[in-house]
Amino acid sequence: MENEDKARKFITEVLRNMVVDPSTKERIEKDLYCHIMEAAENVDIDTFLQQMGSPQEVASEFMQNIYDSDSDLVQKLVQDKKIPPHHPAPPPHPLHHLHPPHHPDPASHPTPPPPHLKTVKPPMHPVSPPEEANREVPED
Amino acid sequence: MDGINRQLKKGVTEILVLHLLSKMDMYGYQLIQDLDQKSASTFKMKEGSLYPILYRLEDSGLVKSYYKEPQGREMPKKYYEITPEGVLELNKMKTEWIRMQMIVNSVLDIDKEGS
Repeated sequence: MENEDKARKFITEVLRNMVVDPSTKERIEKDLYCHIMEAAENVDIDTFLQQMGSPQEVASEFMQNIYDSDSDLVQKLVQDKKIPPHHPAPPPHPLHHLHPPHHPDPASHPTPPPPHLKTVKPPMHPVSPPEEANREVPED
Repeated sequence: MDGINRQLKKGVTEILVLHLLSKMDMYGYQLIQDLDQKSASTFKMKEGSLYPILYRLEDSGLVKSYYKEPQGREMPKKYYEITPEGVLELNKMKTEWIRMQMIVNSVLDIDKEGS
């Protein structure tokens, strides 16, 4: 197999293990290709690909460094999987612990979202507040 | 310990990459090799660490990239070069690095103990 084919095959596997937006994916694809071909001018491509690690490891390293934090990554995963945003339940009644609610019909009380969605933090770069929030309220 | 080491390295890699690029334009593979050599293999960067740094630097206008025409049978290489803004930022980073180093050493009593 030619060096170009080996590089392409490896990169396809790396990209298959990544959750990034299409433009970043394209950027990584081009750069990894150049990188492997640059290396192949100096060392044997099979040895070099082996040194890089498995495609899963390469993908994981990229992901860890592209996202600033775990919460950014979770947000991205949620967006990519098109999971609807979680609307938090209203605060419990002050005497909630004394009188736990009884739910005879499970259909009317859907299962809570999985734990990983409950821990989603706001993004590192918060979205600007809506204009209404900045508007001055005239004093009475 | 590995985790701490990783975080420490992560914090300074950006300044090291910018510094290397301030000396000469380099392509990705060359940057990894150079950093490995100059740091006595302390900074053995993986591709997944280098390129996201280059993306951040490029997106903030501190470096820019270009393809160099291949010579003979060589493949085209993607070079990175530092911009004037990058040079200014590098100088700021170096000043901040020296300041931080002094403060951390002082808190850790390193200067006093000479350790």
